[in-house]
Amino acid sequence: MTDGHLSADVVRELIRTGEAKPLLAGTEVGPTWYADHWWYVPVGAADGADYQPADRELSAEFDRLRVRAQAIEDVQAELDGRQ
Amino acid sequence: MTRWGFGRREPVSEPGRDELAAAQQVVDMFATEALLALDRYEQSFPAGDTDRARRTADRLMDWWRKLKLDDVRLDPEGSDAEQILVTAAELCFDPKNEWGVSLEEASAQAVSRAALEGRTMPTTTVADLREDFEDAYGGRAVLPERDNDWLGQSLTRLARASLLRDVIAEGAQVRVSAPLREAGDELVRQGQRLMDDRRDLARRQEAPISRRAAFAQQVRLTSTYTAYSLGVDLTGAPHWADLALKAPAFALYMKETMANWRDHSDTVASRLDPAQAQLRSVRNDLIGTLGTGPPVTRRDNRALRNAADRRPGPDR
Repeated sequence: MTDGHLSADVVRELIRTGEAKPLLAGTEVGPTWYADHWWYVPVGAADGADYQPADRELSAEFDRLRVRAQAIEDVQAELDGRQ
Repeated sequence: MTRWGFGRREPVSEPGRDELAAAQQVVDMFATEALLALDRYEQSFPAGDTDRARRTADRLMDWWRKLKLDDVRLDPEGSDAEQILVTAAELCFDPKNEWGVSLEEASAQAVSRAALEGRTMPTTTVADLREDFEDAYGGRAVLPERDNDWLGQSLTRLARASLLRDVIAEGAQVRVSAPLREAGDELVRQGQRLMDDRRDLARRQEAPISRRAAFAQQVRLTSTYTAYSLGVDLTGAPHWADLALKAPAFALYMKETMANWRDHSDTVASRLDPAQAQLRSVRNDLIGTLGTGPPVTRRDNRALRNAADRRPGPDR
């Protein structure tokens, strides 16, 4: 971590080892939960830009979105179970 | 119940307009698919079944609640399909409405509400959606056997797409992983073949030239979401496709890739071979440079080159 930022490579490795969890499955860049904080790369940042911590307001929004993401996964599991 | 996008806080950084527009189009695609699925569910009851409206409403409410679609920021000026679907859900959840819901009623109410609120009124009917689906996909769609399953699957895709859009709207960058991009390319090839087949059919049927542009547009849109939605069936259910279809960013990637295919499709429609297409590209470049004709974007040229270089997909 440098200056409160995380490089994209570090986040990718954290996701690979299960220490960090992306909000959206299947993404290599996107909001990610790690060490009790949300990290993200702002839209418009250059390719390969570092992750930065989300502020409290944005973190609350990501929390809400995570609840929706979990609901989707629960329904998907139900649908998969029918096949 | 539904949040209409008012009173939202501003995102930390302004999301890219193009990215947000593309994500919204993916939401539109799956709203259309969900309406088709709801239509099929409604039509599965025998004619004259007095419980049809109530049972259709109960089924839609069940999926809507499970997927927490109430929390989705639906666009009041979204596509016709989005407006009709939201109206159908609102009718279902109206405590004073014991009758239930029909798509016909939801379509009529969506028009009335838009008129009252001074918005652009939806012009698409469910009959239009059925016809477009048939035009674009013919009898080649392999739909889930159980109507309720298709409804659940399509609403799940809508929920995923809207989640992705809302993440982008918060100002966060999203990029699909490399393995899924490769999986996407394969599914896109399936969709492209469908598009070419349907366009070829339109030519053979000598559709009026005035209708061809609209037809091509609809074929592209419908082929994209049907290839995506039904990709597992189309490709013989490979494991990677199954994974890809559950990644919301994948839909966005696929939609953008399909859009780039437009130039290729136009080339096919004109019966040009790749070499001729390349020549046309060069000629357009020159015209663009001289500024005497419509400029050809770098994206256009890249799409043409990609079309010429594209590897044929495996036959399955």
